[in-house]
Amino acid sequence: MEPNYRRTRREALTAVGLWLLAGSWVVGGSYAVYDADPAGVVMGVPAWAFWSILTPWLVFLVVAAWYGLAFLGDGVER
Amino acid sequence: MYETGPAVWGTFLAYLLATFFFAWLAQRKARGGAYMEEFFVGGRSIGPWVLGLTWIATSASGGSFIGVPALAHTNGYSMLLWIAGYVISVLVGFGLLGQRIAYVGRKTGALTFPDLLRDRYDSPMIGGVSGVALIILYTGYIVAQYVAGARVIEAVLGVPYLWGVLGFAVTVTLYTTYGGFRAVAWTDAFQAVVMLIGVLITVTFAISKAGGLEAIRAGLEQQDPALLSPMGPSNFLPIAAAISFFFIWPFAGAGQPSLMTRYLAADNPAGLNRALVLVAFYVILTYPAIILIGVTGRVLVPDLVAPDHAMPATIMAAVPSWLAGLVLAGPMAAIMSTLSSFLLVSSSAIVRDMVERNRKESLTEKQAKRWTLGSTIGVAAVCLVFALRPPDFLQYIVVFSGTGLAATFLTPTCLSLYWPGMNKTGCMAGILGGFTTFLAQYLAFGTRSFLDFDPFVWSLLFSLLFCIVGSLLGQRDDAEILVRYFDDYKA
Repeated sequence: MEPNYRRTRREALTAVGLWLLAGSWVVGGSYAVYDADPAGVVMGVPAWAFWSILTPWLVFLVVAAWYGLAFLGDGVER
Repeated sequence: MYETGPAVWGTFLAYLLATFFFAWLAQRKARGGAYMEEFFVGGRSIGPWVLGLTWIATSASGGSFIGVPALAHTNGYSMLLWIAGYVISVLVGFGLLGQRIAYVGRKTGALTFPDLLRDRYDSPMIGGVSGVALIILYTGYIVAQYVAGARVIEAVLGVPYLWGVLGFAVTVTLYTTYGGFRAVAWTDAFQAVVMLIGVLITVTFAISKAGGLEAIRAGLEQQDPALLSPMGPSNFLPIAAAISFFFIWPFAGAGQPSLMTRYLAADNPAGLNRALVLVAFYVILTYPAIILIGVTGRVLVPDLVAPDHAMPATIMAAVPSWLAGLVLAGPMAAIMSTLSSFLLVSSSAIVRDMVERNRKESLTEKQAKRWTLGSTIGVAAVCLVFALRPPDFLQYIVVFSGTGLAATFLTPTCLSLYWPGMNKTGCMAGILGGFTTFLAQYLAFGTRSFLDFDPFVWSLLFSLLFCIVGSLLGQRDDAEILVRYFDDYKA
């Protein structure tokens, strides 16, 4: 059976990968959307904040649910 | 300062009574195992709900409820980008070390964060150094929480500062010494719920009072269009700072010993997985709302006596007075839950890492009890004395300890637990290297180091470098130890 450290290490590195993904979308997206359309508004919120903060937040809530409930092992190894 | 009727006082007292009730309830769940294991990690039997809520209540301090809305009042929507690391910080926090620490702790019997490192290298020196660093940084933090809490009730209830500080110190010390980790976790869970309700009520009333999000946006635009930009007024958040904060919230969070201790208390790994999802959901409900409260406050109450009044002033302006007491308990709950956890982390470092592990035999039940109560009350009292006349350097300790602790410990902890090649030399080099490079940058450049990034970002890199170089130069650890941590290790 796979030892605990190998499994949890893979899971930790996946977390770092997801962090990189989230960061590129959030930080990169905020400035990009703002540059393209500084006055844009979606549902009363500045467009950059809607598309690059609130939307990814919701998406990464789903990702966290997948990561926690489906991806992470439950630690039955030796 | 603001109008406070008997209703506010009444709900406030009810909140305090409920806190003690939960401490008592928690105590009834104790299973009577070994004293220190029960007192410091709740007998490793905390389930996913309580664990998740104590994690978030510890991580959200007075700063999240007072300082963050204040910044949002000043800087507008750019604060959403400032705080955006929380999009992923729960996943990173639990994913990076949660299960691994829970597993190793069970296997080696670790009760504190310094235990984890000391046992991995069989090195009292590493245990001692991390214990001392932890005590110094956390006592500074405790003093700051006392001060913040006392200032809030001074502003809201008109209670004199001295009595406020005393009230916080005595209440928190009482339930912490009474029930240890289990009481802290259960009261944290209750306080997290109070915080959540407070934020949701406030944001709903505030937005409706201001006439909806569109009206708020128009109001902000009229005051200063920069309040609607990601950079904020006078370039508050340039891109290097936004990137830095996206590093800081997830990774400085993951590197807090007070949060790592929480993983040691988990009843099983699957419970940690469920706690992760619960906390991620909690964070998306509260953090954007906290920013919205500050932003809406800018429209409702544009002129404040002090920026820190943004939250209480918005509550007073928007929430009906019969509800205000409940809502104002939110910031109190945030401060108390953080305080109790820090108190426990510091006293456990004293009892476990300074006293017990430097003796030939372990403490007897009775000695353990005496040392634990003594050091918890001792830490609380020393901090109380400092809080009566907060020293000028306090703010430096606070800013420093949040990111400094993680800059010092995060990389060495990760490598110690995941990399068989890491050894004593590498760990020591990583701890000292991370700490000194952080301190040096901080003293030389403040929060804008090379290329305008925060010192924390660079310190993580430096500390990684120190760990690797140190490990390559030093001697490999005994195969006997390595096999215990890395099951398929072959010398």
